[in-house]
Amino acid sequence: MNPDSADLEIAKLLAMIGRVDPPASATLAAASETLWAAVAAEMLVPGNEPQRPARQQHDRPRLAAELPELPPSQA
Amino acid sequence: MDTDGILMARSVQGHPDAFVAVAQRHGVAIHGYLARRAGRQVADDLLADVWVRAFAARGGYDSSYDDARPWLYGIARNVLRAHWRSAQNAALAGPEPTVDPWDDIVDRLDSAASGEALISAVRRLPPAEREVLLLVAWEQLTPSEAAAVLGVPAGTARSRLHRARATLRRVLAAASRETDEVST
Repeated sequence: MNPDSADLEIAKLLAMIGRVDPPASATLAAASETLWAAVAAEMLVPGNEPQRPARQQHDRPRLAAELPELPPSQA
Repeated sequence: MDTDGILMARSVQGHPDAFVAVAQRHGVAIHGYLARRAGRQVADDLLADVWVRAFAARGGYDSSYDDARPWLYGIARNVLRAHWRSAQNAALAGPEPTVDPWDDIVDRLDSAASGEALISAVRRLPPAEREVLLLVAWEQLTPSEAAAVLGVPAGTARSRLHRARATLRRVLAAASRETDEVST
């Protein structure tokens, strides 16, 4: 048996012994529910609310206006 | 479709719910990782732990990586090790003897496959070599991705994989010779 066919044989056997059934949808749903609880808990912490896009757009020109002017050579 | 990297970045920039999409995308893969190593029941029990730990640790994810699977496997590995440690502690405290987690996997493999020589050789591999081998063979990771899961340099993972494959090739060759001798 040459190394390539041996590696192929090994991969085939390992794949066979590593085969498992996919999880039940109820298992995935239960894990997802637990995750959502963690997400919700973080979103409820003051200061962690999602940023509003409108506010970001409003802030951008103001921040740009606050930047110091660069000399012409660096601009 | 957004990459995992984009979703992970969004999840730390004020949209934590973006992480849920990453978890849903890889739920079957992470459950499979746990089930292959600890059995289906334990996988069912630990999947939620993996998501909660990964969610808490997402700030450390490098969003330049499009695929979060290696990182998630790393989290799953830590959850599994904590589970085995607590199972061992419980066994030490009670009348049950200490268990080797690999006993369980080999029991399952024995009943699922005919390659006894290979199974026995995989069991005898040093754990560090076996982990890389199985991450590549079972989770379909590249050696570099397996290295990321294990937190070792890519070269180290490659040489462990090389040694593991060389050992298994020798075992297969010996088994093949024995079969030939019996049949002649």
